Amino acid sequence: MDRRDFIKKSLLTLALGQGAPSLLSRSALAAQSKDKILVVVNLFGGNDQLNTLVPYRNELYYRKRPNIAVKREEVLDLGARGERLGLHPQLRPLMSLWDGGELALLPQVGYPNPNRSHFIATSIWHTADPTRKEEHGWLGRWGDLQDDPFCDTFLGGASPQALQGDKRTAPAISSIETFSIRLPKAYEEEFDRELKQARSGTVEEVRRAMLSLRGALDKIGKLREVKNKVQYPDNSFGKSMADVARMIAGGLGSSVYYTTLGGWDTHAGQPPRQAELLGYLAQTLAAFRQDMRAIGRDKDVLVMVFSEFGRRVEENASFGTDHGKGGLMLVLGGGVKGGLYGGEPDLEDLDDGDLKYRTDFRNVYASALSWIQADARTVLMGDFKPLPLF
Amino acid sequence: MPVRFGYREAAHLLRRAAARGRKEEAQKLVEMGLEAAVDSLLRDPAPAPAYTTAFTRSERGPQLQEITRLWLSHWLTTPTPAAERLALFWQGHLTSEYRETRAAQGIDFYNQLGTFRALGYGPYGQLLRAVAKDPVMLLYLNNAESRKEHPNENWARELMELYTTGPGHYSEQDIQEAARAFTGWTVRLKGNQRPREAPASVPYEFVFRAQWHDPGPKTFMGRTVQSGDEVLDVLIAHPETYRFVGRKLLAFYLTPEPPQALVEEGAKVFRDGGARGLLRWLFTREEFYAPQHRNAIVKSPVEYVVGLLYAARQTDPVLGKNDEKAMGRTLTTFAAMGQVPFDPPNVKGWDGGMSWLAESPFLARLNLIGALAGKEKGIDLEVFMDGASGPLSLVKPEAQLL
Repeated sequence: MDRRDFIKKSLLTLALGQGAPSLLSRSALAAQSKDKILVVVNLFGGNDQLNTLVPYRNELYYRKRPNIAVKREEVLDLGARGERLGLHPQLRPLMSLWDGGELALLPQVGYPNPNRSHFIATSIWHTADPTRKEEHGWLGRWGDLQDDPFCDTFLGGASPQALQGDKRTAPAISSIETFSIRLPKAYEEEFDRELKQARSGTVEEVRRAMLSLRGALDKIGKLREVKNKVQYPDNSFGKSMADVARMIAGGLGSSVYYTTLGGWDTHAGQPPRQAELLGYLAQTLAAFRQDMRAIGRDKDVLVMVFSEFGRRVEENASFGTDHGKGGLMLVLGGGVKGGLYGGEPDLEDLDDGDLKYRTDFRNVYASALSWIQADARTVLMGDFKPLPLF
Repeated sequence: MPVRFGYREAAHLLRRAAARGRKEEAQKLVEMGLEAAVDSLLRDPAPAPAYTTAFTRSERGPQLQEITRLWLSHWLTTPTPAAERLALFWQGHLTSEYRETRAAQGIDFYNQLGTFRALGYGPYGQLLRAVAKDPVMLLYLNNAESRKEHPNENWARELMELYTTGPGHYSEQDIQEAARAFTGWTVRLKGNQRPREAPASVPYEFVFRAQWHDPGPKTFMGRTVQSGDEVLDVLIAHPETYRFVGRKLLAFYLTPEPPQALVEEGAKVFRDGGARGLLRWLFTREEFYAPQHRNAIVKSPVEYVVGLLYAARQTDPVLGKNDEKAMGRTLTTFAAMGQVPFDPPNVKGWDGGMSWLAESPFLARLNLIGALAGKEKGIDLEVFMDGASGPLSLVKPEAQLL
């Protein structure tokens, strides 16, 4: 630890020790530990909880889903700690984490007055504000307090609302491999000259985007030599997580990495589609974890997976399910206290055909924030007791 | 006060209306005068070439390459390019994702584009009714599989949330009742052919299956209705529909955050005169040419490519070397820039704005400049961007703006 880090850490400790948020100065918050890393995976479209964490000992589940239920004999048993629930067979690659006590399953996570629109629900999760008054993302608000433009990184085309702050937005890198500038020399020189000319209005916004791009090119270019220690599935989610691992191994220094896996909006023909996606998810997360172990960072990295909502309990007539409420979150990593956080869902006490939510997602966010030693109260704009996930 | 309509204004108009242009066209518009120039830009669309394919129904990737090439080369050559930019707007508004709609073929998506082109300028209700029966939409939002036993709510929800009133003007109950009303609206292959046997050029068509339809009365937005058509009647008569969709049009043509007063006035114009009426009204207003509204919109990748290739006098929309793999590479480049034609990222369409210029997609479009090497000499950037002085200007911020 160098002197500057030491001072910042002491400040942070002091501020936290006194428990007074007013003492959490900008510089203290700016000095978050780079040791701990949060990886957020957003399953866009609304993953169906009931066919992921399956209540396979409940007859009612099979009655409500005569065509699309996961067959009892195919469900992966979770043993005594899983109560009467089991996992979808495609999640087999995660079983060793469960057995090792490093996978937390959080059913029916939601918020008061749930919304069934993809976009409104996603925005609520991204801003951490169910009243929908806040326009900036929860990690964007955290990022506003940091000094490092690479304090967080999005793997994909453009950073989502979660990573958009008032002052900055996380850099968006869709792949390390393709992230290099290929311009004739005269153009590149002209580009660097244009960077220096302050402008106004939207033109100035574009110039700032050029500046961010220039900064990212310099940082990401150095990662091209870093290799993964394990093989990842050959799909876009696998590639993104492989790049996250390279960024961590190469010392990019982000405390937060964020990526998405879409396609969960299974209104029709759900079983094959969801199985395919759960397979992508589990294989990739298992590979990522192995990679982290190989570089000795497994205990530092916490992965948090969420979807904007779960789905309707009863299947529809097209072998699918419609939008529902509270959904399943997964939290995993070498430092995580695994287990089931919340019991078997009550299939009889429904809210307009949906499972009722039991855990507020902001309590989970509070844990994630404390993992990276951020001040959850400031970021979440309220007191949310962290779930004891680690 | 009459609008000053000189060369700068004409270039701005051309860029916004059509996303392509060269110096002589802007000069011609100036000679015509504002009113005639606007009428000329907004005239009825010239017909697009027909599409047939030799690929099979399982070869959807190559079909996407074919229809993209056909559409963009049409945009690059048609005398009515403004109709094509409007068709792009409708594709991003009345969305269907190519990758997610696996039953639909290139021909179905190309036909949908044809609907956007043919009805795009007309009354919004007419376009909406056509899209409600469009096979790609029925397949994409699963109404094609919706039966009375347990209706599928996907289409009913997005119809209200994204295509008409926007959120806040209906209840969950309205969604469920509308879903009942649309049961039985489904598709079949033309001539009732079987998907396994039919060539990929055989399109889907709308069919109403009475045995799937729930004929009972439904309470929708406080009224008793029976059919899907009646649900559409209610939404087409709803003033919020014109505010919501009209605002999106203004964001696409004027500025990402259009002033509320213009939204209000524009909604009325849109309701009475369709998109053509709205655009005619907008393009002849002083605000449209005001400094704060110039260079206010970020070009989407499709607009950027069309504008750039047109400036370089290229009519075939391939990027880089023109070999047999050219169109595959071109689509990969579009994906890297964040916009694959016919394939918005989700049902809400492309976010647009500054998100086009996040690090990775921005880099992808800058790297395209390299592909122009050797063609810089003849390039005419006068309409493509403000303040161009030779090809090196392509790295100026203005090159990214409409």
